[in-house]
Amino acid sequence: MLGLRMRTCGTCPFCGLLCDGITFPSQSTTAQADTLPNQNCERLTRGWLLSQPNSAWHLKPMRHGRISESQAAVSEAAQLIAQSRRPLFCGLGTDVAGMRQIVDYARHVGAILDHQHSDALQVNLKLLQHGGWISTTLSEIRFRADVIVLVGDGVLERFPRLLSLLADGTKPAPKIFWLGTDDLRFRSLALLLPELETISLKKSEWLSALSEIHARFSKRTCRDSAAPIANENKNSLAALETALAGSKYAAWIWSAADFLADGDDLILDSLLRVVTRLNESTRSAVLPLAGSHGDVTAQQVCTWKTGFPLRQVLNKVEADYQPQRYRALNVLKKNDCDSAVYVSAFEPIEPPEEFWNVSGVKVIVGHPALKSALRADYFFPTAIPGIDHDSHLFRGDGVAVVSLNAKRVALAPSVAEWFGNLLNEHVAQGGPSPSPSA
Amino acid sequence: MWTRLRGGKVYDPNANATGTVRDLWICNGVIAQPSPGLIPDHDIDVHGCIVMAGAIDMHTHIGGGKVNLARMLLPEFQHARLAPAERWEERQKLGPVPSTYATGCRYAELGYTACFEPAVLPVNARQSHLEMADTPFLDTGGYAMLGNEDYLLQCIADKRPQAEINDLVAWTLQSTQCLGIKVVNAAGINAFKFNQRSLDVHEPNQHYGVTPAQVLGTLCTALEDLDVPHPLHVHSSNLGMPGNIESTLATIEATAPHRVHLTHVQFHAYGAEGVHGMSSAAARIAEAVNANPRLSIDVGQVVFGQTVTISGDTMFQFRQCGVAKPHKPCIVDIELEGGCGVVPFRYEQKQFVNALQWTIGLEILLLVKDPWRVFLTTDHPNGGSFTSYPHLIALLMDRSYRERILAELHPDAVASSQLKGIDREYTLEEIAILTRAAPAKILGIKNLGHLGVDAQADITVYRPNSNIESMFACPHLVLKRGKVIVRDGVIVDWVSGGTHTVRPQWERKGVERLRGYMEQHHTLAMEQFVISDEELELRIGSPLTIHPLLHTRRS
Repeated sequence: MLGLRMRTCGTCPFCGLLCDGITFPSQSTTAQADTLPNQNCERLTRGWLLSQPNSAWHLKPMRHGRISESQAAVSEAAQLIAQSRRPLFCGLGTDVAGMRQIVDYARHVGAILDHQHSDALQVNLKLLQHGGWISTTLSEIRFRADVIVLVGDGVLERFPRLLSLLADGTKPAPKIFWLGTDDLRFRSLALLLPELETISLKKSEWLSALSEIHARFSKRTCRDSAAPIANENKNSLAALETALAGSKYAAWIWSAADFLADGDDLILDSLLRVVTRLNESTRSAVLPLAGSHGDVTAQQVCTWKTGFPLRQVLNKVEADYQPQRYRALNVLKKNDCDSAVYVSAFEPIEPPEEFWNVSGVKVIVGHPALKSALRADYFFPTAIPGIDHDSHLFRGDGVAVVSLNAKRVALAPSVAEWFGNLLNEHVAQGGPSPSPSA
Repeated sequence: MWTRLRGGKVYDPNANATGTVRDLWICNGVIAQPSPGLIPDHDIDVHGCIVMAGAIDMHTHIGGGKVNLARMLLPEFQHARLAPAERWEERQKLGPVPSTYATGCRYAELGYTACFEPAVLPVNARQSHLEMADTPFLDTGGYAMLGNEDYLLQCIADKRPQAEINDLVAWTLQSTQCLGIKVVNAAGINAFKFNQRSLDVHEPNQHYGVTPAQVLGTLCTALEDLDVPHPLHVHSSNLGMPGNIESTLATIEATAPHRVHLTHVQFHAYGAEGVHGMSSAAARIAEAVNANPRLSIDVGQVVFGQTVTISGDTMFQFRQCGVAKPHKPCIVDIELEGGCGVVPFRYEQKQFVNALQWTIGLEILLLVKDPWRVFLTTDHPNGGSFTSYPHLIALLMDRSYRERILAELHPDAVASSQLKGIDREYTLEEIAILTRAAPAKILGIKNLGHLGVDAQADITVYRPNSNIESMFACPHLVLKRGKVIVRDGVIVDWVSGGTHTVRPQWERKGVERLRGYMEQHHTLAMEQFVISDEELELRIGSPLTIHPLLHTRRS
């Protein structure tokens, strides 16, 4: 009964927008073109294609590359993780239920927690923790914004249906600007959207541009002339300034993955200062979008359950939050863990190469199409959240937990089930417990 | 399985028990009447101890997006400890916004067994319930925020029938699985999104032409028509502004003749007199409450030290950005419903305004005569942490203690305060009313806050101690549904709570217009706002108790 459909209409789990009302095909045993959801979205198309079972899928638990009986594999993996000095739980591509179980298990075994997107999460978190911000959400922008500024090259690739989601046909269309970098890729993307006013700046020009905008609304002369702005961009920037000056609600949207280079934090910091300044006389707000592969979900659940965001280690009595030290890649490179569990349930995203250097047991809990299933010490195949089982995910603006219904019968247990099994086994084996009852 | 708590001095205001020595019998998690001669399976001797129902915090920010935002914002103030603490000193080391786990532990260690989150935005209700479900020991519930939605304001502006508003309110309560409705700065959060920077009770929101008074009247009427037990939970206009007593009194007037609950009134009880342009109006608030049986209030007592203010009132919080300590304020506009402002703040006892706030809260608690209509809250974490409750109870019960602390405050605040002249000292019976019986009554929860037959066996047992703060800080025993979870202040067992809600009726056709509006303007389908009973119990993980309505509907 591979791929038996349960519902036709639902929510897409493959990016942080979590678009509603997607029509999923009635039968999907193969990934033929006519079985694809017709929503003109590359993320959905890709995610759906990757969710189609095929003969290469590993649908049974594996031990050292061979199919294993489930309970025995769980028991051995739990024992080896418990014996390790410092486990790393990384990837963390899962839903709310999965993350709740992961944190509970991490508390029992004293694990480090980090998500595969946490470099991008960290960009936004550092901004927040440095000086706060004035932010907004998707419906607010759709309803209220008269100026929208997309900031960075990748935001529409990562969130392909963003512009259609923000289009409210009952009010005058907002003026949309797109600030990108001065390269061919951005220019070619921009050509596809002629209704957007695009401004392609060299990275070195961004600070100057934002300083000029800030100066205009501060009624001061801009002192920053380190990187003069090319003449061809001056008109576009002037148009943006004019639009901002007349705006009642200007929204700035970025995807932090576009701002991972050294110094990019200064750009976003400058942007926040512009927004603060604008709010002295009008309204303006930012929307740092995220949410793919459960990144916002992992961050939120980890924070409420432990009091701290990701990049922390939990032990029996306390959490140690050190964002630089407990970045998963740093931990792997410095051999600061002696066992590792990698989770990727949405798509078959392979673990980083450094994962394989871990001295102790290496466990993968993830998508049945993961090639590393064969390479891991233990592999536990998972259902796809929101496709194979009902799921809760945080939307990319961080305010809504969306409920996703299963679209078909699950072919494997969920991440939550696997981690629940690992925790139960840990307790059954007499592993240390942080609570009086466990 | 029968358990007997033997020989304690029972304080149960519902049964007029004021230190009455009697046994309490528990069966299957509830208080029960044994048959004569029954021998209990467990017999717990509490001779000489003070026995009360588990305490209830009816206004505490323990779950939801704004709380988690504050956690992310302020890791430097977060206490790292996760495990139950064995020493009181350790337990006091708690950041202003602890994890769900630490929140549950610390509340239970203080003898609190039920807490209610007062600011549940419908779009964020699922997160609120997830967080509360992950808060061990506590029964929980929420008040859904209404009064700033573009849709509701448009309805009021269009003079839609009250019945349609009633359906919207009932649908919201059911969808969000909440126990009551809260309004925060009625129409003001919305006005701020349109760049209006202030809004008084009878002043129109410039975009919709609707006043806060209209919003309050409409929502009070809806709750009354729907027989919802908890009256409208109102965060009044002009929070924190010197002279805002006039807005608060206007709010009281605007809600007549309906029952209404005014929340954290300390922040709404400021005059504008004196050399600093700010004075206490506690006496005027107390006078209004004493004269109007339809009013109830909670206080929002200030506690000195570092905290973080988290409020839906973005209009006010935006004004506060300049005084944020540390300077990292967050303001969020949210989904055509409301917003949230997270502003770190430190209350200093040598600072005039903060000292005055401290005195105003206590003045209100001591000047309101009826303990059934005033509630001890810090509006956690806005006025301070809930862990200060033992200290605050001691201040209420011991005049000399509060006057010692008063003497250490800013001299102008001391000079302008009436506090020194108030000799009232709360009795244990009044504390039992204030922290147990009255919150359950105002929320319409029949099985909590008392020790009668069929009550949930949430019980706190204190050893008498001349040091009141120590006594309330370290209960001898805390029982949750009949199970001992805390012994001498230390957690010994693990029990989960459940969710309390009400379920007024609504008609589908009454919310069809909302569906059309959401399809046009929102980015989430209307179905995403609905948390079913099954979802709450099985996927969120919190058993549901639906409380009866008032049954006062007029024929």
